[in-house]
Amino acid sequence: MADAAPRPDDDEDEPSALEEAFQRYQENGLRLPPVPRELVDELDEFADWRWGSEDLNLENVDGFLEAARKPDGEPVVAFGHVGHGVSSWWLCYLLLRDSIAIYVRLAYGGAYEDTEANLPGINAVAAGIETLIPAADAAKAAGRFQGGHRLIVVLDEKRESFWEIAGGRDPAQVTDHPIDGAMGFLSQPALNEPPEPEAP
Amino acid sequence: MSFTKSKSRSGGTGKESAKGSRRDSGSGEQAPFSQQVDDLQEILIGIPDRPAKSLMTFEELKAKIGSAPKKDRLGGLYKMSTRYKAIGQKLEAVKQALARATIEQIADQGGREQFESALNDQLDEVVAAGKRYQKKHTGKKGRAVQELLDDVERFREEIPRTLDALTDGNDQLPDGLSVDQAIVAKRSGIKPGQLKGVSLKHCEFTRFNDETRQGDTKQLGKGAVNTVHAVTTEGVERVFKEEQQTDTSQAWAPGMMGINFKDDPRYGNRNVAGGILGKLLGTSVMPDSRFAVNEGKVGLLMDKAPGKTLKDLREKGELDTDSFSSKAKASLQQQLMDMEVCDILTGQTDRHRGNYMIDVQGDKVTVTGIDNDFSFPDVDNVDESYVEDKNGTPLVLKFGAMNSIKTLPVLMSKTIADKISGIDFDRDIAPEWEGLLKEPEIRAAQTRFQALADHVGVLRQTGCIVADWEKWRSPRPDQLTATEYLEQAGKGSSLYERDFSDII
Repeated sequence: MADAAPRPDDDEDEPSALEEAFQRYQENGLRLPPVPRELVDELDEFADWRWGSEDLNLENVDGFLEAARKPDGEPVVAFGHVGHGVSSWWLCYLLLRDSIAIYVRLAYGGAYEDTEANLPGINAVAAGIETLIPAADAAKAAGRFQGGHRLIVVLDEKRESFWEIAGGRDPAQVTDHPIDGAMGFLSQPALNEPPEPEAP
Repeated sequence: MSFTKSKSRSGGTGKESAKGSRRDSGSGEQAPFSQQVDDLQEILIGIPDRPAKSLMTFEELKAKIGSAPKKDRLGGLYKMSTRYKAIGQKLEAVKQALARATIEQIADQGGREQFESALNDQLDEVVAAGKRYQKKHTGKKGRAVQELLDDVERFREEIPRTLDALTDGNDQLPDGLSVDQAIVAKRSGIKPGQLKGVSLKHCEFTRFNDETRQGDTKQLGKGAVNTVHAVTTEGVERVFKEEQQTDTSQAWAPGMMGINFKDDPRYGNRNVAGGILGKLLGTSVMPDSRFAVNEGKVGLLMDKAPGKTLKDLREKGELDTDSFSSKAKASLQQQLMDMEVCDILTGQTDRHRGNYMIDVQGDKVTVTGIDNDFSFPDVDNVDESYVEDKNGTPLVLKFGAMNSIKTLPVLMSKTIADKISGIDFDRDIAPEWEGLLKEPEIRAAQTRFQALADHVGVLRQTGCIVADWEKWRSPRPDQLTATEYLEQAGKGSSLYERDFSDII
């Protein structure tokens, strides 16, 4: 997914935004969430601890969902650490592309939390996203999302977590584990796929 | 501090100038201006430096004397001698004089002379009281008082230089800051801009500063949260957060609430105002806070809340049906409903599960609301979609539509209901918020208060004011317990229903 190779016109002494983000996350024991190859060149740092292919509000869940539920649209990725006060701090990630739209908001770094103890869980989410994106790509290629729609996954520790197929008949599936739920759905055979051969 | 201006001054002792001895490393780079001035102060006597340490307090004197009142043979306490108490009274008078006077008064030349003269008179009285005490006590106690008398003379000599520093035109602190707070602020290197949006009335710099702090300051949090620290003062650990003059958090709530988050967020003030409200209502769910100085920064110092955030407790599976005794559950419900009341009155929009703490110790439960930044919406600038028109009155209640409870409380504790019924907003609340909140913010709170006061009347009529959360039953024929009543009131109708009903 991520391509950290410097571009020819880059100043060799200047790390790219992706390298800076990777380093910042790594220094804090965090796994950088996936940045699709097609968005790497667009990536920029817009504020301390905030990167993206565009300068987006990482807490605008409703705006993100509005865009995600419309068919097609320009791909975008953004991520970083935002919040206020002593405890309301979130590690956010949003990705919108052809096959999938993901929004993640995890509590991270607040004064009252045991950040070190929470790291494995946070990093497991990043790993889950890495698995989910190619699975969604494959499902899209197999024609499981019609009309330019996509899989939407929201993992939000501040509000509600769910997954849904945009433009689909079924309502959003509310769950504390939407990545697992979505992966479960993608792992099921689609109705128009031939059934698996029966064991002899 | 202006070097050219400072150079023309005189009267300093120059003794203190050696303390800032940071030097250029010799790399050839220009040292910061402040460092250059520090270096020059080692050479040029008379440049006003930061104010010197405040006068010894009576508590410090008592510690030096080392004789707390003892029990006599009959079990009573020996009283402090009249002469001893007199020292305390005279020292208190000096302290009060410094606390009452503002920079505005001493900035005026006539006011300054008068202030200096009055202060010297009061110091004379401390000296006289000390000498009277020494006539009776020549040993350890007498020597301790002599230390005080020496400190008085040291302080007296430094008054002109201290006042110079406080009235330095280039770096003058806000007019309304009291002299004692200003002395500490100057000593801590605080610049006027750091006090922008800070209620001067709620600065407790003399109580909470680098000299009163016990041990080092410890950074809390990770990532972009680099301004939150744990500090221990008076044996109590508290949380310090530097006050920001602009909010770059990207959060939606402040803009919708009409908060000028770019230039005037005043989040510290909003937290202090919430704490004051909690006290007025007789509940401890809103943490006490004030402004302090810590390592050259001005910030909000909050009492550290015990326990863990509800989010943490839920995720780690640390709460279940066995976590709460009957008494503990009743206490939890009462405090959650108290917090809903406070959230409505403050217009708090952000009461998510990571935004309040729960501590359970047997039957004792402590609920504490934290991060009350997004509160006190400005009724004149609020996003229209978050104003509910109630009989022609713009009622900024719909803020609960974000992350707080959307409705008025379905149950309320008798204690807080009686407080609300007995409060006159203009008389009891509005004056307490003076200097913290702006008029439209107070006005919006007043409309919410009136709506809540009306609602208390409805709750009384329907038997939903709760004196004992364990024994309360809803009116006949249902006779529901508080737990049953809260659970059946509808999804998201209370913090208890939203956050606890599925786990306990």
